[in-house]
Amino acid sequence: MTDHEWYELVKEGGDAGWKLVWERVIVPEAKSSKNADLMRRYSLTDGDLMGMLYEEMLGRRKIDLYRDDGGSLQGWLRKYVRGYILNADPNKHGEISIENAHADAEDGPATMELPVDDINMVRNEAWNMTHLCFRDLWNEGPERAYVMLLKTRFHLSSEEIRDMLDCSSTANVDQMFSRSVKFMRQAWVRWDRKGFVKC
Amino acid sequence: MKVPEGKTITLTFVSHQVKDTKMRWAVNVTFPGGAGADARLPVHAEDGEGTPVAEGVFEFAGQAVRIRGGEGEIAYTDFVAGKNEPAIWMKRPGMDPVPGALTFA
Repeated sequence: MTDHEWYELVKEGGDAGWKLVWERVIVPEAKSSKNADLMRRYSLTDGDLMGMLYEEMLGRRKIDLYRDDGGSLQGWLRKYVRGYILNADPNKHGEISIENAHADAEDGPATMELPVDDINMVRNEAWNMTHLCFRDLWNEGPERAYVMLLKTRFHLSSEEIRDMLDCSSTANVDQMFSRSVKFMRQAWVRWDRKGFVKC
Repeated sequence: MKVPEGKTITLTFVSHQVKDTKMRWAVNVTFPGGAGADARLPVHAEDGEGTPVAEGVFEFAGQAVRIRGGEGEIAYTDFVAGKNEPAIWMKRPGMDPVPGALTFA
């Protein structure tokens, strides 16, 4: 399959194109040791990356920015995924400063080693936030929550989800998934603005 | 209506947080791989301390699933018919009903 053919399939949002995205983009990036370490640290899963890429490419139509003139679609998509991993660092957004929280901070430059407890705290907060947002998604529309879970945790294809939940079509599944990702992002921002409240 | 062949899916529902761990609950609904419209889905219910719910009614998907000895079941068709129903409750004798939701676990 040529990059052009693949690009057309990705644009359509169907499983054929996105299965290749999973195999050629998400899996290699998630498996690289550097990224795997960062993903563990920031509580990111390969399913999260897939969801973010799907939402950005189709939900926000970034796929239209790809210049289909012979450049590597795989390389182009992988750059986005690397960006998601790097941008998941909460220190980059001023949401939490692990370094400043460290005991060494008063005495000079913060150590480069992240204290284990703080990593766990960040991980737990991210996990709890995910649960809060997911609960909101459930209240908004349980079927969307099922779709989100089946895609990102169980890695089912749209066809499999269509059959399992008896949805009208794969396009319907894709649309629900895209809206779920968007909703989760908005919910995350809402909870973040309110100040984190444990569920 | 069919669960993918060779893939058993277990959905976990949990109670909203309540102080008393005995009041909390977690329910697993299992979709056996390849199950079709005539399948019945096993339901397993525990309280917040990991003890099987001796007796209760788990309300979800618009159905009241009777739990005995931590186990119950729901028809696959009933689950699909009620897939848009957000209300989830665990009702146990002598205890207040406790709401919950699907969890990302």
